[in-house]
Amino acid sequence: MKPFHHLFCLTFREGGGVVQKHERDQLLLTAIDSYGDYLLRLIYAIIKDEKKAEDIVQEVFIRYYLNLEKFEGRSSVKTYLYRIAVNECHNYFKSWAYRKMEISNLFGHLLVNKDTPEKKILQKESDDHIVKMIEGLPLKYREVIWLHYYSELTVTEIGSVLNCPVNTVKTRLARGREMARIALEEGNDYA
Amino acid sequence: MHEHLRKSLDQSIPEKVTLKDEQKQAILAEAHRRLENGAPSRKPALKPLVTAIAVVGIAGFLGMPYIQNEIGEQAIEESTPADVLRKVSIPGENLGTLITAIYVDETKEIIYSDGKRIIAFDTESNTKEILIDGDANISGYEVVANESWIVWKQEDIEGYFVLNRSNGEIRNIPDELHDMQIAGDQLIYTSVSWGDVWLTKLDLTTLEQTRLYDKLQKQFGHEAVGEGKLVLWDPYTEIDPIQVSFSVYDLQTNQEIGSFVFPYESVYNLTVSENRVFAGLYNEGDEMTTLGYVDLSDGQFYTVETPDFVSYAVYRDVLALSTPEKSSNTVELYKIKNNKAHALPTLNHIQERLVRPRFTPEGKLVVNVEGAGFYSLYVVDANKLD
Repeated sequence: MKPFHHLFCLTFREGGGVVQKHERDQLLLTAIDSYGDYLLRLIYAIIKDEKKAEDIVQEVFIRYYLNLEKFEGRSSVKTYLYRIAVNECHNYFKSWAYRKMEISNLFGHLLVNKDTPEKKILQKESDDHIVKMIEGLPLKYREVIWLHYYSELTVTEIGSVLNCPVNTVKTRLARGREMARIALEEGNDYA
Repeated sequence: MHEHLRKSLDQSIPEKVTLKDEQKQAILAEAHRRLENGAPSRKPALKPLVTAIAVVGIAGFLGMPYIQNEIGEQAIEESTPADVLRKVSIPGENLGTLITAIYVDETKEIIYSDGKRIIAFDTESNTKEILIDGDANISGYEVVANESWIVWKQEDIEGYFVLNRSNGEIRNIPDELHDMQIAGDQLIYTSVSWGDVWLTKLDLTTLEQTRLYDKLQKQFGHEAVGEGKLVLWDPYTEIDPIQVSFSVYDLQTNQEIGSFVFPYESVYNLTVSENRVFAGLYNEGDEMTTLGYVDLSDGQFYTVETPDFVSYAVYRDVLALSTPEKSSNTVELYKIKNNKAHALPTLNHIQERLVRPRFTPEGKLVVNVEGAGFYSLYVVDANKLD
């Protein structure tokens, strides 16, 4: 991103010119093409609610669009997008909507002990021992493993995304891997 | 196994969870709506005039250093010969398809997958050639290539494919393959079948397979190839707070050259360069990652004095570091002299953020651009740096 981009954005905000808007749209669409699927799938993996994941990913890209002028040439778009996404996931877990869903799931499970077709599909699709082990980890270990191995963020980028020291990320990553490996050895099944 | 784990995680998410075109358009429409709603409303005539003057003034003031910067950038670009530093832009592509792009020195091509096809972009003529038009998805992470061979895996199709580029012949090898690396006419990969997990070598000219190493005995064992050598290590000993050991083999003879140690708890990105094995190293609680190497000729461990970095790539004495810059990072070049990294100005004028430094076996550094030029890469010839 060239420094002149800042000037385009400034004039766009004041004047609403066609060229500047086109450039802004192009940057958004490029970011969506580059990160859209990865972000949506990551968010889904964390919160397991497709509709909510779509809402969150929309919010992530709109915030990027509205804050484009804050980006300097070497700012990390990727880190910014993931940071908003993870924060939105954390907010979702704290929300009443999520807790209400948890409670209704609990009652639903007690009342009807029968897997829905969707649940069966989900079960089939997660029929991978490594993934099962990772899914069993506490959120703080699970999210660093997903961010590192799936989203391919470096430990520094994860530190920036989660707003915590790099060494905390390293420790969580190492512990998470170790915990998954212990489960793996207990399961005695790799291939 | 990193790629294997990434794939397993990906497969745990239903395929239908992707952003559809109509959702992308909905995001754009909502973004427009919010931007317009957030725009300042019309005020009496004098205020816009004052604002406009202020904006022009501020823009001019802010623009001056950038204009100077642009002029400086142009000057540096002119003073850097094109055979040392080249920017390659591939219109229609993006960071997602180019992050795994492979530069082939001999043919000056960039080879990448756009998801369905494997494409060669000729950096001399700026033309694209479709090498493989797949029946199924092809991930860029599951493509390796050089001037003689393309090897790739197609989603949901058994085995993997080998294209002999000299005669156009395609062969299907019925083996489950992970973590491919290519070295000349040899393919090194992890083969998984019937509960066996073996590090395997395939001679691409004869298709003869050789089992090198039982990976189940050392779960998640990692490997790196380079300079005709194979390096094996086990990153999961990193919890053991002593050291990480690794073994080096000759790729031609399969004979072990020796076993060595890095005196650190954790290592990553082992890289063979000449007669040295480099690694990023850290102990729990370290603020900085250390760059170090073991010299195979004397078996001794040495550290390289560097600025703080988050990732590295090395070719002989040329070092590319992703170094922190404000809240982000970008790639800078260095020359190693007397085990100290000395900064080179080659990339300093580039305003874009550079990511994922990697060297070709012949010494070309390739970095992707993240930012407005998502579809661009820079190629630097490390052999021509002073």
